Amino acid sequence: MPKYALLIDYEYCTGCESCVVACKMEHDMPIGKWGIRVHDDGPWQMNEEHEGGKSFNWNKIPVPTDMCDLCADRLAEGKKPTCVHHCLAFCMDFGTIAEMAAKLAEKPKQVLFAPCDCDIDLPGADDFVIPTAKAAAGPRPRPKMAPKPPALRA
Amino acid sequence: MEFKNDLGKPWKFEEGDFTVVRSAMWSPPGCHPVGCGVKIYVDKDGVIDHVEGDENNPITKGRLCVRCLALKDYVYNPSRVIYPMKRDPKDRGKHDKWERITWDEAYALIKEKRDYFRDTYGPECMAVFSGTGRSGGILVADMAQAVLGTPNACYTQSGYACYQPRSMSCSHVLGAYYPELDYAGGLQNTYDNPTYRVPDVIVCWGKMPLASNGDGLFGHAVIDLMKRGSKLIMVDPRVNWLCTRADVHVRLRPGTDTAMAMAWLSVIINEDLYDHQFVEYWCYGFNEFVARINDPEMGMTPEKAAEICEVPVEDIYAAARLYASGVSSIAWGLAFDQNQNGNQAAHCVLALMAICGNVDVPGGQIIAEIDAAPGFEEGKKMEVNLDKADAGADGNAAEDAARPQRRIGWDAMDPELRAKTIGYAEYPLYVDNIRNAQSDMMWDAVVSGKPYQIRMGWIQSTNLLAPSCCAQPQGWYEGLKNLEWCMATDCFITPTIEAFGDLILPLASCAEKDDVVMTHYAGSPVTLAACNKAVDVGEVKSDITILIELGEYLGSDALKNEKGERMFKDEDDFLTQRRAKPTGMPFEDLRDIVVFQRGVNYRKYETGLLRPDRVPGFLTPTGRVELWSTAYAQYGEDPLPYYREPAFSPHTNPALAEKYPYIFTTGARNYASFHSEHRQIAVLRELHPDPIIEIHPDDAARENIANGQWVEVSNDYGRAKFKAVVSVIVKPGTVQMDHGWWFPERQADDDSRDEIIPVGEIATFNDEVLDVAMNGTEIRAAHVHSDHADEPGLYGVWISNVNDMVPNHYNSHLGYGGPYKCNCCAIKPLKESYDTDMRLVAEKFDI
Ligand code: SF4
Ligand code: SF4
Ligand code: SF4
Repeated sequence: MPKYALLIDYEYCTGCESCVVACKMEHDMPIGKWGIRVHDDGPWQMNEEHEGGKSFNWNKIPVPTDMCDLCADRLAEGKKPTCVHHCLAFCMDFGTIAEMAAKLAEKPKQVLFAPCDCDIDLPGADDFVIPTAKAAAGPRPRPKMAPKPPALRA
Repeated sequence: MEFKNDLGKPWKFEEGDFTVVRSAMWSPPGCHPVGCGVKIYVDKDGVIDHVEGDENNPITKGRLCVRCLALKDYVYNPSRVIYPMKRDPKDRGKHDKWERITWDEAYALIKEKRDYFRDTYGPECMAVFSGTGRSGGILVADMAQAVLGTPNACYTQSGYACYQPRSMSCSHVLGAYYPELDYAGGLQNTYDNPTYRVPDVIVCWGKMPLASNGDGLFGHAVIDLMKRGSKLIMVDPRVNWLCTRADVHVRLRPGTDTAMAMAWLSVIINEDLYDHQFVEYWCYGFNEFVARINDPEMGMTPEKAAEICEVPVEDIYAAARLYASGVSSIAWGLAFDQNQNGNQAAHCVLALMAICGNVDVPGGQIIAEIDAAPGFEEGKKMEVNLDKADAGADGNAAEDAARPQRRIGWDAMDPELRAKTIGYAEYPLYVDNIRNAQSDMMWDAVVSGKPYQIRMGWIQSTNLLAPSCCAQPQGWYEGLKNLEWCMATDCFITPTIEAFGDLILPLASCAEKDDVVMTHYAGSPVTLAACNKAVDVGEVKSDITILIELGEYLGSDALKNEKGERMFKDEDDFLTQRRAKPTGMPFEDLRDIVVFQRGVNYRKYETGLLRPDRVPGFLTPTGRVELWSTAYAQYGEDPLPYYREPAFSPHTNPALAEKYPYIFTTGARNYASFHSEHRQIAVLRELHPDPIIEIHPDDAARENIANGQWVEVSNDYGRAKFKAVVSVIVKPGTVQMDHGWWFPERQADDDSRDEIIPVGEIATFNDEVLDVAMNGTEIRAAHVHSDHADEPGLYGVWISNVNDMVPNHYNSHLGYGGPYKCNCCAIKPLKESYDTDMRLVAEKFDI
């Protein structure tokens, strides 16, 4: 079962590729193989009328590959994944899916990856629990409604 | 969740089978003095296993860029030079002719040659050439003047077009060190320190700090500050990634920065957005300055600038008003240096900082304080010779008045010999400021032998033939072939060393020596950090050790103290005396704590800490920020700023623009390399395998160029090949080309040069052989044609050599700057592909 996830804030990912190289060094990966790669969308102009700031789209999104093992050896030693440790923009985070999902809700322009299963138990990992489908399945509370507006005077 | 970390660990500790050494980095390899914290994991055999970021570093907090992450692949690269080697000068260019010798033999050989050239032709016939950013590079004046005894140290970049033009303007206009973006690096707890304030606005002007970490600025501090609320203004022709996050992006035409800065000043002055008190108390010549800005002819309005810079006028107003709206900080970059009008652009930006009250305030521009003059006593008035107050490339030189020991070699030299420095007569300010021969005059000397011939050379940490550190490298190549003997210091046999080297001394990388990383060359109150030796590799030595040992071997008086003993006992003693000084502790103590945060005293102009005599004010003749520059006036330059159109622009020379319709810029940095370093590091090369040119889709369509296709770019001076990236990152009509390229996977004697410079071809300009006067500037022997076959390709160094298209002698009146970022070219698609075969690179440089 996937248990841990990488949360990436692509508002701030600069495309520096420290994650890419840190991962390759950690796993001794040869040329042509990667544990994570940065996908590049831009620059392209959103509004042809203006080019003077916030008018181009350019997002860099690191995506773990099928070779990402969430740095299992490091996790076993209690260390963060090396990509997270070295990220120049401090825009990567690692934790349980529940913990990262809570952070995902805090701001836009983030992505959450759960690249692989992992059965390592990390201290504090159980502090965050994701409500499973069953637990959440009780009677649904009635949604609150806004107070009725006063009637318009004739 | 909590994870393990190494916070609070000593400089050296054991972890499992490894000894971990905490250190700070400065090229070789890597970058300028940024000093990111590293942990080097050394195995039981004394070999680096891997490197991690050190979370104890207060600024980088464990982060590392790709270049330090790949440190091991640099240190143990199979092509690394780790023993002294010599080669017969008749075998230059031949890689298989190098022969291993001992250090004793190497020193003896240098002495024999030095003595011969000194005694036969006079010491000035020797020159030491250096490059940018490295720890040893800033020792070039000492190497020349104190070790060899020649005045001719030379940073070969036309117009010293890197940092020094800005530095010079700072010391003369501002009367202080280079004012840097305040990112709280010198303060405990950095951004959270209560005396600090996050800038409201950060301006990145001609600077993309994320990949370059220019001049020592940890670029990603800008990201930290954006997360803490700083708004961004970008002044850049390209849409670099930061521009897409900016509130205002001014996409000016390359080379028009002075017009833009004058326009901001016009808005701020005429809308009364400036700091009246600062102007009244601390500025000199404000009224004259305002008169110039508002002068109908020499001045500037936003409307006029909009036309010159080709931007919407609203962007100029928006940028200027936003800049003046709060505490703002400008990170200014290389674009100021690589421009003939850069001294004026720097003058204007310094004026912006000053009149808006952003100098030396929290979140504004920080400046390091300077030492009190020797013999200074509280309460006693003292005279300081302000003529000697200058700022060198190492940023320390404003301290010359306080610390004369820095100028050991120069001051020890006979004034008659000093006067022989190449370019002294023509550019006295330049030569005095940095104690270097003027680069373009040196180019004349090596290509024409005038005013005298340079016979012995020392390639000291520069790969100038690779397009990184000189203009017209073909000309330098032909000229430097005339060197009768040439020694070199570096970690690798670069194309430059393969071309001229007769002796190579193997240089230690930052993993193999002690050093002190002076962030911002010590010109900003940030950190001083110990580079701690972690491993031994072959017989390498550091620049500092070579300076001390060779200086003694050659019997240099300049490196002796009053008692006639060695001035510096060893590397660590040198570091204590020369580099660790602001810490107040010997190097051995700095090693233990690894990083020293310097603390920041703000508003030092009020307290006298900017002057060696401790009088409040700035270190200028008037004691104020000189908006009307007495130094510029004294050296024959206009004391007030003015705009000058780039020499190669379509407005200056429409005929040229017809032939070469594209404006080109070069020098944009990427993460995978530091100038010409790192091309042989496979894991980095993989990130950026080929030299690229960025071209707008409209232009690509017109020229029939597909994305990824190779193209040939040319102008009257040279030609080069690049792989096209078709993108709106550049404006239509403007292209950007990579610099620093060579191809270490190729052979030293490959035939790639013949394709670029066909034998017998003579370059012409408007059908005349190039030796012409243009725009009031004389181009002397501008293009060196080739009349000889069988020149070695030198690892493909001529294939993508963008600097071949940049001429010398397009400097400012004071001898600074060159047209690297505002030149012109034509482009044509190529049928062939020159894509790098990464398998070849991986195979050749597998460690
Ligand atoms: S978690 Fe580890 S394996 Fe996965 S991408 Fe990051 S560094 Fe690579
Ligand atoms: S290290 Fe961080 S900023 Fe750099 S590319 Fe990876 S996620 Fe982006
Ligand atoms: S910025 Fe410079 S010192 Fe820092 S990690 Fe990169 S190369 Fe090393």
